[in-house]
Amino acid sequence: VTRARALVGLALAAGAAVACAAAPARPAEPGAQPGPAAAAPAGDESFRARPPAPEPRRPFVPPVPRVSRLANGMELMVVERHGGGVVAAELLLRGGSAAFPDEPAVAVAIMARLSRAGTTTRSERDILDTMNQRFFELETSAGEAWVSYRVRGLAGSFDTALELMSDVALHPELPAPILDIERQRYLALVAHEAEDTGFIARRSLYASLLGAGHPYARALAPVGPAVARLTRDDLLRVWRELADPADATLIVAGEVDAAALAPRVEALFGAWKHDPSRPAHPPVPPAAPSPARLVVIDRPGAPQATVLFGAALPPIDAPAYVAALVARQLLGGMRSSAIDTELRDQLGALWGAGSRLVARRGASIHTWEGSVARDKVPAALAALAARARELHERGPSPSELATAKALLVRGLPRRLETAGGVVSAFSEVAGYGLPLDAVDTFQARVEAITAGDVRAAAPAPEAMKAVVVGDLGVLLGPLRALGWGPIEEHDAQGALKRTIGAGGP
Amino acid sequence: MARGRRAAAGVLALLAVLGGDARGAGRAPAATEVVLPNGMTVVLAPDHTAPVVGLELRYLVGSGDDPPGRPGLSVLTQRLMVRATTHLAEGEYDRRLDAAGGYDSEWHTGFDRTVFRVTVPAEELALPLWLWSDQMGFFADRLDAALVRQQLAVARNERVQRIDNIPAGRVGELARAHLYPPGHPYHAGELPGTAALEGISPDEVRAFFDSHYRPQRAVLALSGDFDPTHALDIVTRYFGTFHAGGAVRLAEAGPPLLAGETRLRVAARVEMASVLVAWSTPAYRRPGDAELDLIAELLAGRRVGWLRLKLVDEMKIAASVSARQVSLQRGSEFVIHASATPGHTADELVRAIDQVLARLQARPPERFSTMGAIAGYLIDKVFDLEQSRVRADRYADCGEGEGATVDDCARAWVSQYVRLPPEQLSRVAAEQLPLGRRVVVEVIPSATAPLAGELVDTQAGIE
Repeated sequence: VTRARALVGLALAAGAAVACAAAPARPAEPGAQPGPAAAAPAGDESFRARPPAPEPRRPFVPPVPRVSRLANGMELMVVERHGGGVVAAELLLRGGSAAFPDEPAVAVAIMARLSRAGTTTRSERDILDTMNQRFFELETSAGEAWVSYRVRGLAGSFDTALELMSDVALHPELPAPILDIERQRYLALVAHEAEDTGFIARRSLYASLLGAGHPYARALAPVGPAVARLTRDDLLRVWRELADPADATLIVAGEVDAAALAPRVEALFGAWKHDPSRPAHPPVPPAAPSPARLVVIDRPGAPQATVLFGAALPPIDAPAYVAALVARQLLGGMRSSAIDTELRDQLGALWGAGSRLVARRGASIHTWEGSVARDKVPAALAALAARARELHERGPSPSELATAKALLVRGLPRRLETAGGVVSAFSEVAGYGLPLDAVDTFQARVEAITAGDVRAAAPAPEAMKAVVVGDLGVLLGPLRALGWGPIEEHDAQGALKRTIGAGGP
Repeated sequence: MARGRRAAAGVLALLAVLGGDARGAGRAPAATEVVLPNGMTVVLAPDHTAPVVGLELRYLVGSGDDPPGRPGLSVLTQRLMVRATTHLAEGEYDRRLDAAGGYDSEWHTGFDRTVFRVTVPAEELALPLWLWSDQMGFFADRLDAALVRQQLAVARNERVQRIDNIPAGRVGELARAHLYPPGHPYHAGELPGTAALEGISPDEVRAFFDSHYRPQRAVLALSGDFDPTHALDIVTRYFGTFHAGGAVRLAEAGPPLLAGETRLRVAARVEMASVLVAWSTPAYRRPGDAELDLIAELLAGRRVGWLRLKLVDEMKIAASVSARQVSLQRGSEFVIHASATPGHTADELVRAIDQVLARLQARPPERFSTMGAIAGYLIDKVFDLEQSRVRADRYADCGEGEGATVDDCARAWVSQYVRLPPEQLSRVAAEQLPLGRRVVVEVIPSATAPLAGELVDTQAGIE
């Protein structure tokens, strides 16, 4: 019944039945004829009425890393996975911007970026030349919880990549001329920041949920003045305080031999000295939310408003975190989420919407985000609050709960499909200090979640806050009529402009 | 330290070409392409690295094929295909995929293609095939005026979100309206809105669907953990009984030849001035297309970035720059975009861009820049092939081609970049990016203009 257009030399186990003689034979288009529908099937087609039954579940054993520790305290996690020819690795230094309450958050980010701009023995051009010739990627970045040096490349290039990674992490030059260029790039972007409504909304939401001085909110603060003052000495101080083997983990996954890798890692990182006098990183402070539930930022003339609706959820290392993860799926985290269907198809309020859960120690942040038609914003907020109340007071229906759990449980193999995905999973383990079996037990922990767990983890609607970036000339009256209490108006930099009392326009 | 074992399908074969690492490439199980009697192309690329399967179904139909007077009909049609079909109630498409652990579910309509994608656990391979077959064979039964109105509203919101609510969001479509003449399939833009669709009847949508979304215009690609014989059985069961039917011949066109420079001035409610410069360039896979991919990387990529070095770092007149070859089937476009820093104008940006282009056109880039452009362009694309959904996309792309095997096509895709000499980049830049034949859109900040921008001046045919 089929013709193989192109038969290639296969080692397919049962491919012979598929492929007959090669014979290019795409039926010719008959030209312009309206014609009937594509389907005019004959015979018993009753199988189409029902979805196909799934085949037996394939066994999936999440990877478990081989863990060892160098004499200087550096941790090594290795996951051997053969067959792809690719290796990914991440060196993480625990203590990102949250570890420096007295430094501008951007200092850690710029330190990480500049690490790749040269070492004491290599110029930026040397580094790029090596990456180009051996075809691998080396990226450096910083978040609130750790600084990251990541590589991804062919197995045959991994030794070179690892050596370069160690040089960049341990011997950064942090050149002053490149700091000047980086500073200029940051400052140039400041003028365009207000046009990124999702970003400015997130900045105000984080400050509202956590308090403006909280390290996770400070990470989004305007960078202009802080960048202008930054010096190379600042960057060196940040690097010295972060770069300690006792707070470092190297994670490697893919086409590697763990036994052969260990001595190489020892050779590259073994001389790195632990400094016992180094101050401990401060703990993440508690949230200090502002009283207003609703924050608005004016954007005159905008036909849609950017709406963020979010709450602080249990931190990633709390037992209730997994239930919060399921709750997030149910509030816009799935394509079939009831709230998105209601807003998009029934209310006609939007096209695209998304939900994200930023998992962290201290507090995770869940946000629903959508671009909502201007005249539908109050109705959309009311629907979001109603859905949040439903989850908090009644919990999910059995079918909703089953779908949300299935997506997490059955989606895990997809998340761990690549070497980079495996590294990311274990960088969370190492970065947040989670149990080593956190990946291995993830599916079982999700399966165990009940509707009651979700109800308990879902925040009360009063604890959820909204930020609306839109045309206040049109929106302010209807928003006040929602009766959510006083409304804060922020400017695009997140500063409070005024507080507007509740009530009518 | 590292050791090689049996290669995965596709991935290592591609990597081997680029990295010169031939281990396992010859042993890799290859992809098979099958054409069903009704003309539907199926590519099967087994890979047992992870227990998942990436699937892509694409129809060789896009917004460039909207009927005259009905721009936006293909976008609306796809929305309706996903919303409900004969055996699937409203919203069931998404619910079924979520419950099965389907990730990366997406669909979109471009100028030339209508695409559906998803990654599922290996045991759920049949589910997307069932869903997609219901769209192909049983689209019409649930279609009624209420559903059409509902999805027109969603399509209207999409247009506002992606264009009207974006600062200077109309710049791209204004450029295209001048890059492609009236009558060209791309003239109306990729997302033309719904104004021309108000009042459209379900029968008209049905007729468009029946004449365009045919098996012979469909390419299905599967990559991941499956047995190809079994998979082909399922595919044949779900799609094999559909009749090929007749089909409307799609509009054919090529890249338009611009006579001179067209300069547009657009006022928009933005903070800073910006500029977009666009050229009409060779279609996807035509000579020059790959070179322009690398030229874009050379100009604005992470590893080289001549425009960034000049405009942002040296002259400090731009906050950001980007360059991209937008490869399309009926004529591509090469686009440079730059945003000014305070106190600088769009015209300054254009002059600086022209200086950089003139340098590239006058002499080939040195080895460091060429290597950086090649590596920078390919690195993510190659390593993303670890993901089954990305492999499915690549194989679907190759499944469209005639002649070579899909594996040969996939290998050629990588090697075409690796083998490009620097002189060719310089020559193609001179031929395809002439300073006197292009569309330039200058965006001027205005506190009273619409957010997305309005055209305030047009100068056409500038020599």
